[in-house]
Amino acid sequence: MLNRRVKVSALSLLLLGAAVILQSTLLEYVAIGEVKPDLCLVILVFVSLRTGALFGQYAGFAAGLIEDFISLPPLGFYALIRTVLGFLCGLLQGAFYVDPLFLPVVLVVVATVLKGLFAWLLSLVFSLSATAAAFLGATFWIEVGYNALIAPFAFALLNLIKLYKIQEQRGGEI
Amino acid sequence: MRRVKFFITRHRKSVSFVSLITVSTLLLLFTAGRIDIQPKRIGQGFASVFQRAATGVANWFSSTVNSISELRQTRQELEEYRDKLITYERIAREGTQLRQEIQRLEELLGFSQEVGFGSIPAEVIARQPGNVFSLITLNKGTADGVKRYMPVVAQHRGLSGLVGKTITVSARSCTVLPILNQESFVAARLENSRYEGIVNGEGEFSDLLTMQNVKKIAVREIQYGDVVITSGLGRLFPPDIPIGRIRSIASRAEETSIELRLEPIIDFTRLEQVLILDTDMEG
Repeated sequence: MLNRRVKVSALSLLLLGAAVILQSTLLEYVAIGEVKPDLCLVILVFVSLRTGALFGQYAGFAAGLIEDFISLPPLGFYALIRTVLGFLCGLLQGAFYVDPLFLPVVLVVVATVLKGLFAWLLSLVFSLSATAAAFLGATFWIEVGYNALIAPFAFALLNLIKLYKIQEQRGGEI
Repeated sequence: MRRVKFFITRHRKSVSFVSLITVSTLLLLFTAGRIDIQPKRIGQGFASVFQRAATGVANWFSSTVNSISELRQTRQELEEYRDKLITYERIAREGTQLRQEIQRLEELLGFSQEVGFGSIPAEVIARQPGNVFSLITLNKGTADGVKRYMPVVAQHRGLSGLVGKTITVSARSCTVLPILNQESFVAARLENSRYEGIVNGEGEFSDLLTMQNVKKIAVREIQYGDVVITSGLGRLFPPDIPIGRIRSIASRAEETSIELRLEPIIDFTRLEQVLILDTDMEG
């Protein structure tokens, strides 16, 4: 059991780390009007739904911290946002059946909107240079749409990973 | 202590959530407004290794795909240039042919003015099988004023020469019996010595003519290469049209005349444009 937990945790962190790196490099090639999808967020939603709130918040914190290291906002900015999102999504674990299309889109859209709101709030509280417009402007809504678009595909691909299937069948938190 | 431990175990989720939020907030508080800080530098340095690798892979793929695309484009351009080159080569060839044709026509025009008769320019459209170039078909007929037994001449390398005579004429074409045909007889004369004779073709597979009935005494005055022209006797061919050049002389002791073999002025293998002379009409 411990072995499986370690494997799932390691794999999830690896996926999230890779997603952050990809976002800063390769995803530029698929950007729509310079807007890239938040692949890390989509994976975080999936991982949190599979592993629960406890691991979800750790995963969110780790992924956010990596993102903080390589982006402009101060340390803790993305870590805080993604911790909250990982925790909230994790609370929904086992609450309902996740279909291949509708729920991934809804959850990812809600998560992206929450991310924007949190970012906006943090920018105000900590007087960061990023304004509310940056998070809730046209660019942000394109990102919401892009995330919604890739969510079903990302969920379908991640569902192919055996470890997550076993996790889903057995249920419970890591 | 035991109660605290129990509380933490029971509310593990909430406790860790609060802890992580606190850590994040503290980080934010300490690093807000400070971009260039040591932990960020270290983290950035570490992440840059993976970023560089990912970008390298992306660039490799991108350059490979671009190379393939460029190669395809280059190949397509090459095909287009090849097609253009073929077209230009064809145009150049046609241009050369056209220039040669203009030159030939100019020569013919000059010649028609020279002979002093009316002339009908015509083009060789066929050579009848059987004897080698025995009969030649031209593209002019009665509609153009062509009649039976009209002399036909042509130009070759700046020289005019006798081709033959029309023997059958239709509305739009006529057939010429060339002087090479063994049925052809032309009253001729040596241009320099003025001795007369009859020139006729040697027929199948020969591109030479024979001049007969030349007086034996002429042997003293003739040379190889001398030009033989029409004499004008018999009224069919006008006088002074070159026929050929002497290539060999045959003289037998028991005969009173000599026989000359002639090389025609005209190269019948390359005959394209001719003039049909209307001797009834002065030019």
